Amino acid sequence: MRSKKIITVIMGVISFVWFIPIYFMLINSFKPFKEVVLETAKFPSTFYLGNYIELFKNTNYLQLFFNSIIITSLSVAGIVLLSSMLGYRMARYKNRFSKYLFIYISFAVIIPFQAIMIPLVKVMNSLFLIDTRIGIILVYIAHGLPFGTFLYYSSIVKISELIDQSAKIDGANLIKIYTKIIFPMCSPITVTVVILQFLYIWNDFLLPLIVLKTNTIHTLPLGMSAIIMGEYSNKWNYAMASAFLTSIPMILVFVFLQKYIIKGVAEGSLKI
Amino acid sequence: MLAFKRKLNTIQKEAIFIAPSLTLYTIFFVIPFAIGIYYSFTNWQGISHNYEIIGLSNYTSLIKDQFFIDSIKRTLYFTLFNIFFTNVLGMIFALMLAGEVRFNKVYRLILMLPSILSLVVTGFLWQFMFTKISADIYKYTSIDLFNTNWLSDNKVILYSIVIVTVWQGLGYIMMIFIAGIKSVNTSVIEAGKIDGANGMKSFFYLQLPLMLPTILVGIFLNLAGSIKIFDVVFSLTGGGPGRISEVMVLNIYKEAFINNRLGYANAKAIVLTAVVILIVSIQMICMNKVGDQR
Repeated sequence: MRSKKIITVIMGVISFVWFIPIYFMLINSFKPFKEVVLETAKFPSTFYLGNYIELFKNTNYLQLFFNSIIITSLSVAGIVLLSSMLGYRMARYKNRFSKYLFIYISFAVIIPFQAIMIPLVKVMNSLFLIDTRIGIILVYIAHGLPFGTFLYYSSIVKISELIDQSAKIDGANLIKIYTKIIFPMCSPITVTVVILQFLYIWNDFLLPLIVLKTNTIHTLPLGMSAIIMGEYSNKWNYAMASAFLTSIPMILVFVFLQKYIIKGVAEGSLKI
Repeated sequence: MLAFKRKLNTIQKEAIFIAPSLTLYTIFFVIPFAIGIYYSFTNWQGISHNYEIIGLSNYTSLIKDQFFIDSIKRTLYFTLFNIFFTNVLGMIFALMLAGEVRFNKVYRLILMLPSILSLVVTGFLWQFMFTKISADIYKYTSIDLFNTNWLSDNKVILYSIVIVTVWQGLGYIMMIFIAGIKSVNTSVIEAGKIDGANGMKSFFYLQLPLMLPTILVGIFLNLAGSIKIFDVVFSLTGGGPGRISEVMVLNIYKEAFINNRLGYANAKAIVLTAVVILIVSIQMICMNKVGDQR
């Protein structure tokens, strides 16, 4: 019993230390510039909202937020749809074709994004997809597909083919079998794929950095970094306020869906 | 004729399922990769569309590129430290929080919180911590540690980056380890107890070997991320001051999108790919070995 109490205390101290940077981000976002410079570590005497008002007035935060929502949700939806379809068929092929597909898709697991980023810009350029939201969505889908396909494949292989066959005898075609039977049976995998891809795409920085040039279509991390490094550089009060604004959506999602996120992280990693 | 039609029909239906994915994957992944290998043998500069094939000379000149070599060394050094601290601390924290300890849900939540933040935000946040907050704490406490030039001292800067990445990535690894601890069959531990394996003995001879697959997942997940570290360094130091914190991907990024030497940058990216492929191969061998033992 005593050892448990000691652990509670030790981990309490560690969690406290872990929270310090977030705490300082919060308190300094509610201070005017002068107070941040002179008394950085002090708790604000009054909650000053000027930084946030300024950011909402002079930057396109809502636009950035909207862009991130659109890009992330459509990409994740595309990944779920396409990878479950591909995974389903791959699990059912009995010939060598399935093996070849597997090897073909495995490239994505081995080859890092950095190896393709430079020519990717050129490919997107020649397809008139550079600097467009639809372009970046298609790239996210293409890059997230293999991971999703593997997860769906490994769970659909375990579903007996007799289910397909009996549905077929009842007159269901392939598309109906997939939408009414197979896909609903994979919903635990869908949750895992959605969470991991959502976390990854929402926070991704490198791809938006190289393909999104116009600032009206920037994602939240990219637009926010441009704001901090641009007109507000060295103004810590604005930097901390916009850092917090960028983090709020994710923090809310995390607090409300933590059960699923923790499950998704744990399961996704164990299945790789 | 009818049989042929039916066969065509099934092919069409199969195509609906697999063609869209394969098309996207081919256009946005496989083709760029193939083009990239080709470009690595040219002196392509981006803006001008003329380029020549120059054979291996990109590869021979990057061996002599001191900045690139330094960035590789730096990245490997960083990776080693990051993996060590993230996984060891992650394991210790996981062991402490896996059981029924008071407040363990709250503690897990707090430790996990940084891993859902964007890495760029994390970089800016820690830039603030290292410059302003650290100086302010020194002002009040005069503890020498806080008088460090975290982001400008040549000897310290790499460790500063490790502090940030451990802070950021530990929660994620810890959650994976907790899942691993919970998946270990408790009856084995109980049986060990009867045979006299207690405390440390039980941990090192029973629990740890049983968790080996999970530990490997944690290490390799961390390894792949560390080799490709970019976002944090981009916002924390931008590779500076000078180039003393420039990591491999940042070096490639600058070569490609700032210096516009796209052919040369691609040769560097291929080197990175080779490193990653080496790691993945080692990972697969390890995982297979562990799989065989079970």
